[in-house]
Amino acid sequence: MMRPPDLLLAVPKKLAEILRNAPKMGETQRFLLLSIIIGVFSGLLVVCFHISIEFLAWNAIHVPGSQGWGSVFLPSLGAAIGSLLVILFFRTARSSGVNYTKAALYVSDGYVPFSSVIGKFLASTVSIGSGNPMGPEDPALQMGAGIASLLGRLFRLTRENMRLIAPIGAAAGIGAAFNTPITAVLFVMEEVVASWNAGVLGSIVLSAVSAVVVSRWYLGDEPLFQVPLFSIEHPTELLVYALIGVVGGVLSAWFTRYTTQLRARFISLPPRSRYVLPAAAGLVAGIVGYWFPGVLGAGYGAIDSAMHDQFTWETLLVFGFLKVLIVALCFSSGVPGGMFAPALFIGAMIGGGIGGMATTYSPLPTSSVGSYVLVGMGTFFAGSIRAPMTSVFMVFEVSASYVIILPAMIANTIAYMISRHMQRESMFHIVGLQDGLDLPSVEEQREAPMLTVEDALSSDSSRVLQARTTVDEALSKMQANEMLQALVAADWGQWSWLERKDLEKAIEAGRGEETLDQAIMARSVIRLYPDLSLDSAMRLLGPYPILPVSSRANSNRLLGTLTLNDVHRAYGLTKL
Amino acid sequence: MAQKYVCLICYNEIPHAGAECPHCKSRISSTVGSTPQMLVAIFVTMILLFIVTGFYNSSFRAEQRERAAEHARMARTLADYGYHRQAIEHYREALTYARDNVEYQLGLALALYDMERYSEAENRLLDLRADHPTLALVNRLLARIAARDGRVDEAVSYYRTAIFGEWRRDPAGNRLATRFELAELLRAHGENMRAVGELLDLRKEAPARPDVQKTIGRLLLEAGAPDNAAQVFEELLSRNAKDREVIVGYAQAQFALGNYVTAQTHFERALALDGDDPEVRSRLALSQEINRLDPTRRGISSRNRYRRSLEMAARSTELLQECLNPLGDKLVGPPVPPPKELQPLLAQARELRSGKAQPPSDENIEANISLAERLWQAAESRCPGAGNQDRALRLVVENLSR
Repeated sequence: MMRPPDLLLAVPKKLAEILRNAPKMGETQRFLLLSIIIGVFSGLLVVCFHISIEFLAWNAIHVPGSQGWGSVFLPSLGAAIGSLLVILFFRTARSSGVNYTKAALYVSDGYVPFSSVIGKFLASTVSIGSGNPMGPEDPALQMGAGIASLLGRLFRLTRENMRLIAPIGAAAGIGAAFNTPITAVLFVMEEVVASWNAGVLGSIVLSAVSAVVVSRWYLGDEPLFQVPLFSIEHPTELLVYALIGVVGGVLSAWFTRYTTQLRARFISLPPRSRYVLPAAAGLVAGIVGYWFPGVLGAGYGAIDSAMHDQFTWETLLVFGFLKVLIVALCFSSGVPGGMFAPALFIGAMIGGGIGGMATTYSPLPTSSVGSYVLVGMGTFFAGSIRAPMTSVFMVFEVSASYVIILPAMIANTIAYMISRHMQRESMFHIVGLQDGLDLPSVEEQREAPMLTVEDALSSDSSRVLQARTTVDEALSKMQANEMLQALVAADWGQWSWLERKDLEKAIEAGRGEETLDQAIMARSVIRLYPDLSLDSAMRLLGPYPILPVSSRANSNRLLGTLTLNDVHRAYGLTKL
Repeated sequence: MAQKYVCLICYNEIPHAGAECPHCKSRISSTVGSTPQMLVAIFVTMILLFIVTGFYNSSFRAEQRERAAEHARMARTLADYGYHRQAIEHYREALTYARDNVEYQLGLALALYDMERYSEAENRLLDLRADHPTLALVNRLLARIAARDGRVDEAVSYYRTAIFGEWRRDPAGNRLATRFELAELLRAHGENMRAVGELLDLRKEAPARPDVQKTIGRLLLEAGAPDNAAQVFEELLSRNAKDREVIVGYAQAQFALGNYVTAQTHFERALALDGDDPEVRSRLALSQEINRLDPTRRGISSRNRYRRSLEMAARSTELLQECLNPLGDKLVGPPVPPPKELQPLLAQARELRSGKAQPPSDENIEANISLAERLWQAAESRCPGAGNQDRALRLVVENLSR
């Protein structure tokens, strides 16, 4: 009879045997399976992270009438402990999670040390749980990336897949933290991967969904906010949303500029200041939080209250501006935590404040304050994090309301455009540069114009010869135009190409009077189309000196020709 | 097959056990298992993590529930003592721990309603209704807020949902109370037909308890359905002939129906049971006056009928003259002559008063009544509301024209 320990070992052994005998998985299958596993592990870790922050916050964040002046020092203490943990034990948990994930993708072949996961978990729990005005999403994102990287190494993925593993974990982390799988996928695709046709999309979706399933299993499936019901009664209501977009855009640009400037100044201070600055910033947060406890921590409770009309518009504006101040201080001084929740908080309060003011004074019809809070939340996010698509979908996903899409699109687009105009570089990009990481700017990649064949093709008809032209005529034409190669158009819509030396050889052979189709051996070519990207066209051009560009509607209709020189010229012109 | 080793810090492969890792310079190494073993290890770790997270989460949930319950308990106590503002704060705190708890949400909405913060209460209730559309109490509170703001159709819709909705405590009693509220609302907004319809349905379905039936009777009376009200009170009287409230209700219904004799009898009975009710006393006095004036009352002699018709004509004439000459003797100068169209009517009245007594024939009685009616109508049309100065006369005239 088996003893219990033997039995305990027998199960995994048997399982291992079954798996060993199972058909071997290819890299793609392993990658997909791994995405689910990453999602599950990230979900579990984020649940523990969330609970730890909540546990600590219940006992730390000041509630009016329940705690005394001692609570003023708690954020300071939390910031000091958190930053010391990072400085002394977990140096890899120092930077922004988004930048760390991007660095894993572009620089370190997907390597994210597991120590950064532990460091982020501990430091951010202490910091946010003690009331510092930072968010848990960015640390969750990095923890997801760290877990993914560890599992990728255990699964012995190829170098190419290892590079992609960090964004997969990041999506799982952020999905579990926000409880919004679509937002997580969009954010990672928009901000980290910066490509919408990436083959990694399936894996990102799988990991985000499995992380959210795990998170909901434990924490419940309620959305981040309880959004009140509202509707748009009159188109003029959209004017207020546009105004929120303008203010959100200006404020986010200003916030990005001055926060990063402050951070640069703090970095330039002597190294010893790193031990003091976070505690000092935490003290400021604690003092502000004594009178306005809503601004402490991630602030989701205050956003929820604002959505339910519990604050006057003046209070909302005060909350927004105070949060700007303390977040700028805490973030610049290195208090552990992320920028997502603060961005949502500031936007929500400013949006709610403007909306509340409009509701009080505007002669035009207005919506409920809750809807302005919700839309405002996305504007500051779009302006500072520079993820406009994510911000719109996030507002939609947390509200589960189709009505909000239009105001969110209007406000967020305006905010993004204004912020982009006023402040060229995004916050993450500047922070990356300050940390010595020159990561590719996703915005520049997104906004770089894609050149197509249409931009490079030449409509010079002298490059084309008719198949019925005699060899003598063709040679004189090519000599006159100083051409070495030309396209030959046959009657039946076929194309070929020839070189000048082919004609010279034919003349030497006494075939100058014959037509091209009789004297020259045809070299067939492929057709290009004007909408083809120049990059793809260049690959196709490889074996040919010249190619015809036809219309897709009528492939016999020649729109022009393309040579390697044309492509170079197009790229050169772009540089100018 | 040769054994593979990895660094336990950065998981990069190293040449042999104990070798320094070229990436992180650590010397802690482990063998790399084959993929099946690794998968098993991962799954075992996953299960362990699930269990650990489960325990952690359950202690978190328990603490969360406890904190929420504590705040809710305090909120209920404070609300019971009328400290609604403090109760609201505690309900809000409770909801930060248990956001989805319907009881706390409802408690908060109720406290907001009691604090007369109707807009905020309505927002809360609408949120609750979105998730729990059949919660009757939510719908009833929403109906009250809508009714308060004059949104009658919306209020009716909420009331109907509340009536057929889910009541957690005393469903029958609450349904009944809500139907009464609905009928009251309809009546208060002049929708008497709908109110009566609602009450008649209710009468069929409601329990036969006297308090319920009395309320139905009272509301029917207020909604302008005295015949239905009389039926209700009559039925109640057959069960308990000494219920003063029912007797008064029946008397009022009969009064409204123009059966002043029956009304007088029942007002007298009610007064015999409680002689201090000034309302009943004044109603009785009015009934008595009507019964003394009404020339069509059964069982009286022709002489008496004739005398009453004369009194009616005289009171109507007085009413018209007061209307035409409100200053009476205080008017300085010659009296203003009455309008031409009224002169024959007033001449007829003067003739009746000053002429010698006529035989109390039916024709004479009818003629006097007709004259009284015309005089009263003339007074009412020239001075709207003039008829109210003599309520008994007004009710007799109205009863005659009915």
